[in-house]
Amino acid sequence: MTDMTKDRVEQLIDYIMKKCLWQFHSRNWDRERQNKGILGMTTALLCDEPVDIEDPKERCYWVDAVVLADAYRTRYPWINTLSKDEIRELMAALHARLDHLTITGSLNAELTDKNY
Amino acid sequence: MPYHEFECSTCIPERKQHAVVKAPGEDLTSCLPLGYLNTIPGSISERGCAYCGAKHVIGTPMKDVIHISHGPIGCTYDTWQTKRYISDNGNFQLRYTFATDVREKHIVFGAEKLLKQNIIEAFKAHPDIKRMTIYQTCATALIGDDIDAIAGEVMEEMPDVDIFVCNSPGFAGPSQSGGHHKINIAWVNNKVGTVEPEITSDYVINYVGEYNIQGDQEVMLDFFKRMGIQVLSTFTGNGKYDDLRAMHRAHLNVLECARSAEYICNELRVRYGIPRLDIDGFGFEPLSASLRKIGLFFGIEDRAQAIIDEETRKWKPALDWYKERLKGKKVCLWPGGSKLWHWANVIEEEMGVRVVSVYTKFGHQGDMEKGIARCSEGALAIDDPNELEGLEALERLKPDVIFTGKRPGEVAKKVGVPYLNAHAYHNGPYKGYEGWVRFARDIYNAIYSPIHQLASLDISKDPIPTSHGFMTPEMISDAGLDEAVRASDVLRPYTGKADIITPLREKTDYPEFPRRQSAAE
Amino acid sequence: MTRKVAIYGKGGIGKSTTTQNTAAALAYYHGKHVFIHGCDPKADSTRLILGGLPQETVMDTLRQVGAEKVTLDKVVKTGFRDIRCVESGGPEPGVGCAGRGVITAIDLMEANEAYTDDLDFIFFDVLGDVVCGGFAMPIRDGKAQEVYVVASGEMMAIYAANNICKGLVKYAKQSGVRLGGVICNSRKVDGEYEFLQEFTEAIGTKMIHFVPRDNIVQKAEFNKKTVTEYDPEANQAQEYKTLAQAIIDNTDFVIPKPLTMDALEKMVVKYGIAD
Repeated sequence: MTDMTKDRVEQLIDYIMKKCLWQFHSRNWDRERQNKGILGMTTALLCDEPVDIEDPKERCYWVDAVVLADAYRTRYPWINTLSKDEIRELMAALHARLDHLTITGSLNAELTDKNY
Repeated sequence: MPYHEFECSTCIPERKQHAVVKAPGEDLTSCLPLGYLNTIPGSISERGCAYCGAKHVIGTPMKDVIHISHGPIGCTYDTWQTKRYISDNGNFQLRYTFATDVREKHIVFGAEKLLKQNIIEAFKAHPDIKRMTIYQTCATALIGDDIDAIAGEVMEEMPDVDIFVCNSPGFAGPSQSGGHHKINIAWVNNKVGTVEPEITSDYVINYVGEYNIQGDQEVMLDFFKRMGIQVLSTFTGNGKYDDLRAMHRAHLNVLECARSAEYICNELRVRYGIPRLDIDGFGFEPLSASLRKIGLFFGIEDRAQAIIDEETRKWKPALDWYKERLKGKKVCLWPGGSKLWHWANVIEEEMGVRVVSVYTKFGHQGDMEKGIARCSEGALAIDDPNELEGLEALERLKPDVIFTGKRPGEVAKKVGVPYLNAHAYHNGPYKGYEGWVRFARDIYNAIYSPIHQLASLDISKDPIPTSHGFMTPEMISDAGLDEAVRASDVLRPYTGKADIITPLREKTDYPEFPRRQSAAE
Repeated sequence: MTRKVAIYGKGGIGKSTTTQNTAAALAYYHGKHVFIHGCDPKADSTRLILGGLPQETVMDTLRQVGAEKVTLDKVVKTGFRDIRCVESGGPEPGVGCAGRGVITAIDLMEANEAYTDDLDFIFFDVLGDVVCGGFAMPIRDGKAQEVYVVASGEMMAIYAANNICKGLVKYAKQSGVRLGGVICNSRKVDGEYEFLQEFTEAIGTKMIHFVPRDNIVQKAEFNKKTVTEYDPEANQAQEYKTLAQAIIDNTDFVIPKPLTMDALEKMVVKYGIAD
């Protein structure tokens, strides 16, 4: 990853960390699903691709994704200059980083509980 | 790991892993204290018990319910009326508290008969109230009283009443959080799905983890009504028992305090497929984003946007008046479990203060993850603090104000640090746009109150100035302001009424939105 | 000085029978002043002394009139040879907390100064095993200083005795309670005497007396009497007289060394009772 990509990922992570709550569900499997669902939708929105939001669960990811994508476009104008491939690459790196921070690298000992 | 060791706790080495400093370069994979563990012997925790967590925090805000504690009298007194979860039915749940008043003889011989007699007497004394929640306490849990069986007997004999049993004795968990968990799960297991609601809108939500502190819920309800959304139930502030039995019919669970109520949202998602949307009702930007998300979910974003625009236009100048005067003020954000993350970032952004420390009395590591993610670099994060650690932190950080509960708050006052009640508020509500301005006003008044000019003097030895009067808050706060800010004709302090909730209760002019044909059929 | 004695042992082993017969022997043959405090919710620790008179229990009285109105004249009865008796009482099976009842009743008796200085012996006759803190009450806070465990050569009786010793060790340091010995209430099982001898030695105490099995005990019970009262000349009455003397003369008070499960199992196998 280039330094610039790294720096950009950190900017995007910072926004999620400070403004969002969806990445902090209480169990590992929940977090995996949340991160994948919302960042996947956000990537599609940033790439102007269609999204399927018939299912209420998907729709719920989508509303978080819409607000996130809007915030990214407004706060980080450089994102509007990227190509779709670049956005996908950036968002993949962001997803990996977020999974690391909230799941695989997390120090939260309760994430692996079997029950809620 | 950037642990912080308190000098006062060097004799309890285990405490070291319960405090961290968010130093530059640290993230959640290197900077997270332990949490939700049993209190370490030697550390006088500021926590409550699992009974208190179930009854005082979650159960009792339900408004049309006789809340009865099955145990000695002190349990019910100590969980009575110290949190301002008001309701629009004359505060029934605050005005009355019930206990079976278990004595020695009941412990020895069993207290089931006593319980039954109390249940019946309470219903007879309040013939309009047909719902009851019974809370287990330590004493009656130990002797094995079968509360469920007694509740079942009464419900057979009195078919018009319904009783919920909460088995969460004080010892059932490391803190009140154990009780939050137990009552969440008990409610979804025993009561959800037992009432079928009347659906009056195409857009139906449960508003979860909201306790109507000084009217928070009613402020938010106003927004939802203006959007044409039916709030099926509120878990649990100002909430009705039977509404909460119908939670399974909502389209969306809107969750505020995930700490106390994520369990029921998670279970409703797993069992009934209702999505969980975490929101922030505090602060202009987070609240606006939250309303927008709910609007988006139902395809009525424009209705949300109209509210956001109107409220922001109305209240932003007042918020900014305070922001200018609160810039750089140091805050210790020391609440119970959820406000450390609800408030950590937004009070910095919208009020200009600096959060120098966050703590949680009973939160889990998940709450600390959110809190540390949201607070700025350099903040000291403490799990399950004790009073000496709090004092040491105040000494070291020298905050201008702290937001915490009334007990640590009074301690802070003694060392000259003003405090605001983070649990029950000072002059709330704090949710909603106007509420957020009221919070800013309370912070301003706390920091700049003339009382500090006198309170910090020791009348036994300090000279008392008699040649001049006290400085007013504005004389202090405006001294360093730019003339342009001070003289701004846009910015203005808050001048709202003390009671902003009663008018909301009387409000009737909500827009009517036609229902979709397909849904109405 | 009053000697405060607690009697423990497996349920059904004959604690109450042994306690009352020993108390009667102490009073009749040795002229001692004796007080029996029954600590069993069944309240059957004093009927042989009181000639079958049902006794109102401390806890019943507390339930009916309240703790502040519990007085000695309501709950203390005097029976054979001026032996004073009180029953703690307690809940029906399956409800409430019998252990708390034991604690409360003893506290009430102390508050009412029931245990007077003229007494030579106070016996706490405690239900079965030390199942919880309440049933350990008589050996806490220095209430009873010496404990006798009633046992037989049956495996479960020995297990229970060993367990009781574990409870005793826990409180020995803080309250000063000591084990005075094991009373064998014979069930006529093979090798009983030897087994008890080896077991008591292994845990660091002694068999204070071997009480043989004799039908006269049951006969006396049918007549609501102790053997001593029923027939003072009978052999069995002499056995209780001897036991009483052994208790009077006893000076071997120890902190027992309860056996590990392994050691106990081995001993049981050795005496062939396991099959």
